[in-house]
Amino acid sequence: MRQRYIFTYLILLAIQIILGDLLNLSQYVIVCFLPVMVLSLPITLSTPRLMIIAFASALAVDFFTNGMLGLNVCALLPVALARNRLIRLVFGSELLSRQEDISIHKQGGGKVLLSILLATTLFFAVFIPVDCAGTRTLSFMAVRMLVSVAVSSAVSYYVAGVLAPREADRWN
Amino acid sequence: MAVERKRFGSGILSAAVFVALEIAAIIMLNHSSSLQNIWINRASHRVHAIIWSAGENIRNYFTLDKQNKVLAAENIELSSMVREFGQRDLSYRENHFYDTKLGHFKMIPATIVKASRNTQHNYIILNKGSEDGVKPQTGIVTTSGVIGVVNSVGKHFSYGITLMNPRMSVSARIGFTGMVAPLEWDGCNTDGAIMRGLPLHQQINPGDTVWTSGFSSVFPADIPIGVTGRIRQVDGSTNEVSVKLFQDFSALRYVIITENLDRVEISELEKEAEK
Repeated sequence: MRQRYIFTYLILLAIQIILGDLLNLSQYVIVCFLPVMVLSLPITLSTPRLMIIAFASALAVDFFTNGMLGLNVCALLPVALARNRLIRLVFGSELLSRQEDISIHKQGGGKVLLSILLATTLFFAVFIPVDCAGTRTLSFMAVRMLVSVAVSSAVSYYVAGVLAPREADRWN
Repeated sequence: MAVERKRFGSGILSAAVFVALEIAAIIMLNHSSSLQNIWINRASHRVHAIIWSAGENIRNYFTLDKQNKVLAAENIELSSMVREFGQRDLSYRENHFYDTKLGHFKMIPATIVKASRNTQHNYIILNKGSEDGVKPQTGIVTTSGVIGVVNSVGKHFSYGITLMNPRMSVSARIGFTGMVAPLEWDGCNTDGAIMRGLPLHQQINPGDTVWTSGFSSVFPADIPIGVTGRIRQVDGSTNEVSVKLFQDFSALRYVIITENLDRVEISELEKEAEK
């Protein structure tokens, strides 16, 4: 089970690298589902461990894509740090105390989508200003943020379904 | 309690790991792109500036007491300097009048202690009295005109009536070689006077300078008093000229008391001639 999860995680990471390297839709659109991958990591992981995994994942994406080394790392670490608070905010503290992983089937699509939106927004709130480095206008960054959050959240919702544990299905 | 302590410890550890990894990410970013390098350096300088300025503010706050003492001492020193310069300025202004040559006149500089300007019978009190050599019936002038006459003298102060008084009249001349007539206050303005009884056949031009004639034994000759203004015919027999005084009585502080040294001799001569 665990091996299957790790395998899926690595496959998704590889897809993210390929997407980041090859998919250039527009300067306004960034497709990134790293936040949902961090969000979907097992709830039993402590925050420092979570941050180390996030660091390694983002570093791999930065390293294998044409992007700047450290950009995804910089943006993903706050998501990892805030993951437990975010889960508590959206799903309540019960999920943490039961140590249940996030699942669309069990927690419902709305809540999962809300958590994805928050995590993705947090990610792009760091990613876009650092990427623009003060060279773009605020309006450009706002549009880029809105479009990227919308597109990435939609992709992330699908990724959340792929990463969700099978035994967590609500009706099983 | 133990759970809380564990949670606190875990929070600290998370924060420390986050800071360490974020610093590592920023270092990587700093080295990977020159644009980001500039941006990060700029941000870092801004943070440095904020930290240094905050530190400086804190340090300043704790040295306020010391600075206050220094400022108080400096304030005292400056105040004494201002007073000293004020005294020098006063004596300069008073002494400045000694340089003016006004014939056989003894001049005593004085400062106005009190002056009335709002009544019909205005007066001034000067800071010089008999001990300073001031005598009654001596003139009070400035370099800009005639002010009044000393009426009575105390030990340290003198009382005089000003030109802004119906009892006061000055012998004045229009132009250097023009007509001589008495000049009196117009009763309204602090810088207005009237010359009455001027013959009709003499031409008077508005803007002519009015001087002291020197015909009285009180005021020296040729002190500029003002300029002529509107000319009006009175009863078809004489002209009346308004004069705008150079010296505005509302802006008056330093004066000269003028004593004619030949006055006694002139008086005796007049008395002898009357016999």
